[in-house]
Formats: sequence, structure tokens, C-alpha cells
Amino acid sequence: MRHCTEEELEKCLNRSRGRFCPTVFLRRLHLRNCPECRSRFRHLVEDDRFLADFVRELDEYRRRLGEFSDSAGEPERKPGRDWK
Amino acid sequence: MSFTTRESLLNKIQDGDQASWEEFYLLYRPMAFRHGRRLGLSREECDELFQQVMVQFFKSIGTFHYQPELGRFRNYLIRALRHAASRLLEHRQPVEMLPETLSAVNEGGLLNEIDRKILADWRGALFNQALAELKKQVEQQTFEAFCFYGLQRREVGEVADYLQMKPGSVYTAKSRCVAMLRNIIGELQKSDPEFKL
Ligand SMILES: [Zn+2]
Repeated sequence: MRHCTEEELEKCLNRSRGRFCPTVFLRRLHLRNCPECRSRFRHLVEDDRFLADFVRELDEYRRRLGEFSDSAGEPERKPGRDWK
Repeated sequence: MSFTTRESLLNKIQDGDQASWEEFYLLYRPMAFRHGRRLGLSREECDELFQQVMVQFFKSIGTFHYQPELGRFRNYLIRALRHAASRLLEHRQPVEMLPETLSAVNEGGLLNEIDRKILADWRGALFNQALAELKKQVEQQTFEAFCFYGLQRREVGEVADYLQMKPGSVYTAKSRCVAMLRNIIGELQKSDPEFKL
């Protein structure tokens, strides 16, 4: 079987779990047998965990700040158009 | 890197740079507020608390040398906040005093808990700063793809449609931004090496 593409590895991340996807199924089979793709996948998983922690801590921090938001002067840094 | 680390921020303040003062103010005022509120200070007292710490810092700024290996700025700030807060509590009118709060201030256990919370704020402020920095360093579309897909965890198809990108580009944007974000956080942390992610 050929190596996984970047897209396929992304699809194998936890977020697509719970819904059957033939691509993910086949790619997970491949991941079992291919150390190279497994290592690439591991990096993606690490990034994913890092981002999950990052978002959680940032959200908690912003929620705590919200308590004083009417007290004037807190910085508002909204990254995206639809951010929260 | 060109962006402001805590170390270079402190250096610029020492050189009298007004914008750096404002950045400093926005970065640390919420921390002072949260600390004061936890100890039962009113909003006005929290403002007073922050003023005092700023004034104290301003006074010592000529002699304050930032030496990461000796006293970290974070530790200086925590000490200054704690000191100013207990002085504020001591000088309250007796009728306003909350005995349980006052005695709690002197209890090591609570102080450790408070330090832990200040650290969480510190970290939150650092993450906030890192994200703002990332935004400056990449194209708007890349940044938005990262926010929607990487941070908000929306479906890649949804994000690709909305931003009119290929799904593959959304993935690339995410992995590039994660790497940059880690770098930025690493740079910011260099001025506070004890503080590991
Ligand atoms: Zn492979």
C-alpha cells in the first residue's frame, strides 16, 4: 500500500472518529505496518494535543478576564472573524 | 525574532518607550485585578493595587536589571503583588475587614494556591500574546484557516469553502501555524526559562 498523504493523516486524527470512513479504515491499517507514516502521524497527534491544551488554557484565561471586562481597558484580541 | 519578548519589553520600558508601557499595562493589569479580587479587594482597591505595583516598579526601574538567572520578572511581579495586596488589606478600616480573608492571606497554603492561579494567568497572557504575534506574522487567510480548523476544530470542508481554499491548503496552514506558534511561545519563554510548557 502506498504511503499516506497529509490529508489522509489529518483524517485519521481523533476528530473524525465515530463516523465510518473507508479512507480512515484503510489508512489505519497502513499505519500499523508503516513506521514512516506512523511517525508522521505521531507528529500530527502531538500538534493536535498541543492545540487542544492551548485552546483550553486560553479560553479559561479569557473567561476569567471576562469577569473584569466592564472595568475598562482590557485588551480585546480576536484572532478570526468568527472567533467566539 | 523581532517581536517583543518580556525581556526586550522591560528593556524598552527602561529606555522610556511609551508604547511599551502601554503594552506592559495591558498585559499585567488583569493579573493584578484577579489577584486582588481573590484576596477580597474591591475593584477600586484592585486599581490601587496595580497602581502601587506600577509605581514601585517605575521607581526601581533605573536599578532594576533583568537577570533571568537570578530573579525572574514573574517572581518579582508575584512578590510585588502579594506585598502590595497585604499592605492594602492591613490599612483598611476595621469595619471593612474580613478576618477570614486576612488570616487566609498569611496562610502558606492559600498563598501557594494563589501563586498557582497567578501562574495560570501568566500562561494565559503569554498564549494570548503568542497568538497575536502569529497573526502579525502570517497572511490573513492562513491565520483564519488556522483559527477555524486548528483552534475551533471546524470541519475542513466547511473552512475550505468559507475561505475559498483547497482542503490541502487548510492542512498546510494549520501545520505551519502550529510550528510557528510553538516557536513564538518558545521565544517568549526564553525570558522566563523556569516556565515550561
Ligand atoms: Zn506509509
